[in-house]
Amino acid sequence: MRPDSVRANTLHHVYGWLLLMPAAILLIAFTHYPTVATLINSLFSKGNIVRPSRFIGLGNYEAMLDDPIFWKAFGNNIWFAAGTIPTSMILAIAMALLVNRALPGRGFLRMAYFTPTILPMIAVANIWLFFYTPEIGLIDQILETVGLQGKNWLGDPDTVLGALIVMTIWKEAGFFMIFYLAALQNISPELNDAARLEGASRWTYFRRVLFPLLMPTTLFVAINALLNSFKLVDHLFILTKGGPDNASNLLLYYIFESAFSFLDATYAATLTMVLLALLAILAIGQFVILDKRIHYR
Amino acid sequence: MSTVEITGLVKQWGDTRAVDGVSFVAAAGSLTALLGPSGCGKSTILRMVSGLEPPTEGHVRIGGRDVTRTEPAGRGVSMVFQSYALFPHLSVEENIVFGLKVRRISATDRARRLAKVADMVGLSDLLDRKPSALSGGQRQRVALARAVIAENDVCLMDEPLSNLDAKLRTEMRTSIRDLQRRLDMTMIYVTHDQTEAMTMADQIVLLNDGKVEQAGTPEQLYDAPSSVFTAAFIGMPPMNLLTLERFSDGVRVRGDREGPALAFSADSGWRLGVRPEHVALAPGSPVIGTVAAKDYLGADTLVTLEVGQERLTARIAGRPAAAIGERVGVQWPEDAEYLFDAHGRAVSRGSRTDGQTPVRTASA
Ligand SMILES: Nc1ncnc2c1ncn2[C@@H]1O[C@H](COP(=O)(O)OP(=O)(O)OP(=O)(O)O)[C@@H](O)[C@H]1O
Ligand SMILES: [Mg+2]
Repeated sequence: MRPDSVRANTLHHVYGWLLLMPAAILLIAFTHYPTVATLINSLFSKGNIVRPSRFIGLGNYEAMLDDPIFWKAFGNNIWFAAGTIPTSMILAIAMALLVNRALPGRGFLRMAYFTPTILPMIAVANIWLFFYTPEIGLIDQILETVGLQGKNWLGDPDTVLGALIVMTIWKEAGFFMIFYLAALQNISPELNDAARLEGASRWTYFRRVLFPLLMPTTLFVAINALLNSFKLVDHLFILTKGGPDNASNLLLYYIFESAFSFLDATYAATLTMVLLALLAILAIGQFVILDKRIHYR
Repeated sequence: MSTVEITGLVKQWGDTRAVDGVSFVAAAGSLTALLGPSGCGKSTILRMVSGLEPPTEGHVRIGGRDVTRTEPAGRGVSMVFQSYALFPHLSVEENIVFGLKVRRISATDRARRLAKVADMVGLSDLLDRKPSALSGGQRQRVALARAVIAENDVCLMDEPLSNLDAKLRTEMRTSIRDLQRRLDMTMIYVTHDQTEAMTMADQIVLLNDGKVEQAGTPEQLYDAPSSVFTAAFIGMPPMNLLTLERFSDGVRVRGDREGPALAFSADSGWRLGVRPEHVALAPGSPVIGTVAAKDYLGADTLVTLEVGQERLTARIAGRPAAAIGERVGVQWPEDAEYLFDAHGRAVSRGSRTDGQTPVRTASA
């Protein structure tokens, strides 16, 4: 190679790295470094003035397995995910199909369905707090007019998680609808014409054509919904603080509690690692399973 | 076998009348081409025949039965869409038998019909492919197979060849026409390409702005255009239309003061039509044109001439010697002349009465 071509090559490399640098710095500083730091942290004991923090290997992880609150929060999270994801996705598809048709005022309808999504979670929680408040809340007042006994929805361990699930569905469905709506608008109406001409019912058309074509969107939405169900925490601050008796405690909120209420940073780091691993496994699993059955154009 | 009969069909969207009182009959086992420029309402008519679009007014009869309010699936029609409308996630085979499955036809019947149709359109080796792995022509054939396998009497096609290249288009023209004849289908074929309509159709319905401009056999439309619109639409290259001017001593092509007066009476603003294939270069002819352009096509050359203020295309066999800028004598037989009044309607030469009669008196 001639010397000047070597130089040009080196310049090329430098140029490439310079272009990558801003993104790389952000990614390393705010994602990779914290992840590694958290992992290291989770291997140390909780320190105090008398006893400084020391390396204990997997000690924190062993403690976690014996921690009933962790298992409670973990179980709650699974119920929360199972309760919110399928329902909000089905609702999202149904709403998208509805507003994708030519009907009067559909612009308004689309907007109305989307409104819960643009509200901050804190505002949503306050609205629902008003719904759920015992006796003076909207739900209890309605129940009263039809002669039914109201109850303390957020104060009862049997109903609190359900109440949170309903609220989350209300918030998420509109958001997912937007993705489905965008996907539906990319599907040629001629496909519907062709199916109608063959005598396919609406249901057949949905099952045999629309739904398979929406699969990439479904995968995308499912992953987002899953991540959301483990990431959602803001509403707990307003509505329940994880109570009563940890009946509505979720993993992320428990991490927050460990770190800032119980001031146990290393245990919080342990929980964080578990949550991270869980999310990674779920996301990869979804890709692998669904990818096989998805038609990409 | 089913005749398709359309009477007074109207489609109105708000203030626009996309289809405005269209009537025609597509005889059983024939191929009718709906021809017209973009936006004239061809697709809309086809969709009303198929039942995908309800008409504002008018009736559709198929095989003598009034199906104006019948669901698409109950009309016994198949359709090939302009973009083929293949289901992208289904294989060729699944695409073709989609309708049979919907109608719960037994698996053995399906397989038998699939084998037959796939063989007919030459897709037997591609049945497992997805549409995205097919060429345009192959996709076209899948759409065709899907229309044919239903074994309906009536087949509707919306510009089925418009996405194909010129060579493939010529091939598919022949194979669609073959298929239509072989299966004895009544076919209504939408196109904006006059060559397609001329070569394939038993009957052409020429549309203009939602109305039928003229309907008839390809020969009728070519030989006896009832209006300037038909004259300009049919024929490749289209008919020359020369605006006329009335001088004190007779009628001439606009601006052509020196030339001889034409042998008929007309008003200024009327137009004289002459097909390029009837125009000849004739040294000694009193009509003089200046050669403005020459387009060599192989077998013949299109020579564009300026006569007075009008332009005239002549189709001359081989390679004419005349150079650009040269003044040459031009002539055409009198019986190849068409005359159109100021509204663009055909007029008999020598008379001033409006009428639909063809002007080509000598050949009639
Ligand atoms: N859904 C609709 N709403 C309002 N106007 C429409 C609708 N569909 C078609 N039109 C109008 O009706 C007219 C005829 O449309 P059509 O699709 O039948 O034309 P076409 O002859 O098939 O044209 P092309 O050759 O471009 O396909 C057009 O002016 C079009 O804008
Ligand atoms: Mg069209």
